[in-house]
Amino acid sequence: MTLKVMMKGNEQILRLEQVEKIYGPRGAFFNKTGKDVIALSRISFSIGKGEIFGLIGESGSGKTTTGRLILKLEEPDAGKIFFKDKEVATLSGNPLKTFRLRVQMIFQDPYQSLNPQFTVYETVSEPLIIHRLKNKTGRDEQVYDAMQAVQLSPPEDFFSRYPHQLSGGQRQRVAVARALVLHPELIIADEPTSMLDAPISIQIFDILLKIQKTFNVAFLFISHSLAAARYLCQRIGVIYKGHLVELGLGKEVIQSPRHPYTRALLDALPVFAHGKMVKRYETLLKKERENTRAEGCIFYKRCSMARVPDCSYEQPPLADSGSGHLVACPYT
Amino acid sequence: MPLLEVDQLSIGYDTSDGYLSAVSDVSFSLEKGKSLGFVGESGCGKTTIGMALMGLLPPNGSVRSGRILFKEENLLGKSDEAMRQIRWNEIAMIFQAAMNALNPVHRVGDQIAEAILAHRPGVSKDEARHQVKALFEMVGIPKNRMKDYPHQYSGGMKQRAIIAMAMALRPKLIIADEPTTALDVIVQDQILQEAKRLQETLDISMIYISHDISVVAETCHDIGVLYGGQLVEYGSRESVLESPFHPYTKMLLSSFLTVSTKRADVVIVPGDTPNLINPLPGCRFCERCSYYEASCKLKALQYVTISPTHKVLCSRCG
Repeated sequence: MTLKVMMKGNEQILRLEQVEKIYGPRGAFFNKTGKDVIALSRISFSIGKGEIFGLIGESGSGKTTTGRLILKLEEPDAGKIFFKDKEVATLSGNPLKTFRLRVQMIFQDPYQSLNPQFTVYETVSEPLIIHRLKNKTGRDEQVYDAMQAVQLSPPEDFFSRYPHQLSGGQRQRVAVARALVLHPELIIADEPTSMLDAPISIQIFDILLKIQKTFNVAFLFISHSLAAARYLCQRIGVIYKGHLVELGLGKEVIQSPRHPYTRALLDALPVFAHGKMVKRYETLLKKERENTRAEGCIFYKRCSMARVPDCSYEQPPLADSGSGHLVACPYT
Repeated sequence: MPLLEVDQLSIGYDTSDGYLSAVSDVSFSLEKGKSLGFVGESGCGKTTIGMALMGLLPPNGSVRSGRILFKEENLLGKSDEAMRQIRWNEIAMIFQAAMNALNPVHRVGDQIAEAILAHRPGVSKDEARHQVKALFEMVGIPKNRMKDYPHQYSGGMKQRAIIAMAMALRPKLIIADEPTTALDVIVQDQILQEAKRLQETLDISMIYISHDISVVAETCHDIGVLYGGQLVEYGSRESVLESPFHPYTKMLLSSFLTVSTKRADVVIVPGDTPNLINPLPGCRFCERCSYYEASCKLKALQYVTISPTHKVLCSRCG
């Protein structure tokens, strides 16, 4: 059952196995206590071919670190990451170059991620030049297609413009086109619309969904927004302080959340953001609980459902709570 | 008589591309103890209105016409010195991303005490410290954190400190520009509930400025929807959210994702924010509007009164 939800009857493109990332105190100017910061703690999940997988968490939860590890911008301290059954850490030479072709990234802030001195054409065609793909005509064709896929049309109207001549929504489309131009199999989108207004965000989501269908690209959608993840993703993982606490089909995670933290997140949304959903869970403690032990459940201090002291002994593992909906809490 | 009455306010900026009309003929009023929220996309003029109320428009910005009546006095005629007396004493503002503007080399408590000392010459240092203590209690920061530096605070606590600073001189009106935008949902919820509670207990008037309609819906009695510098819809929270009339308000509401939104419910409207350099006198939304007809763009608009608490700037929804 678990496997069915994990893979969604589909071939896996990415798999994380017990991935851990610890940032040491080295170079931490103010942090003189010298404690390690556990950015990610034994995270496991997989993404199917052409699937949109959502990773939801607050700032500092480790969601961006996950993206960076997958892109091999950083190496995990433990655990393994597989891209199409090849371990990413072992890649070098040509296989690494191919990997860099197949996995692309869309950053959060299109005001900062685009080179202000590059025209739109230069920005979108640069990846093809770097990877020495195609001749000029072939490149032009691919750039043209990517621009049309992100609905910047006719593309010629945009080719010679600079980022400052574009609106925020248009800039993010250029960033998407740049990621798409190499025909990747996996795109990591880190909060791609958090700088954009609601009607423009919806346009970008629409484009991502169309790209997913047309090109069968998988997405890792990293966000703090439950509503956006629900809208876009087949499956959602909820991450809290480096721990994956819940994982399941998007609909189930939002409509019947099992982990007290996911429930607290839903409760905290303004009433208006609930839409037709009115249920409240009240899983967040008003005042934090003392915990002298370091091991316990990551949410122990703030959890109103916690059993004292049982929950303060160890972090419960992510386990199937029925029909493949995984949760790291034995008491729900 | 309302505490604040803004009448036909128009504001523009001189830019290298020409005159940018940021706010056009905006009128609204705010009673004592009530809250008003402005929503709209970036560039719709919501922050410009806040800055004009504070008398803090940048050098290239100016009020072209209109009146800002605060306690029945027009703020626009006031001298710089008179405005300085009103600012923070009477009208305070929580600026966008203000929590990052706390001075990193001064203790948080001292920074707030400094604001009190600067505006209240008769107050002694001890007294100011006492007031800060009371303020911290009010916004829910433990007293022993007064001597901490900003980097020792979490984002939520910094934002609370900023709210304490805005309330330090007991103003009648607080303008909060995107007060929770950088915060996580759980912290946002705590801050919004706290702000609402303080507003009610102290009878302060509030203006919330946000791009997030759910934040405004959570906190405000009245809502104003801005598009391209025009106040396109204005009314009580219930009337604007439950029976919106303006096509832009409808679009804003239908593009807002809730956790129960289904893909089929969402209407995707193409187009982008309008160019406000020398705009035509008519409706700025017409290019994205499905009810558009030729006259919309050219004819100056009149408000249509839907009910005493609800008006709409649209010639097609009468």
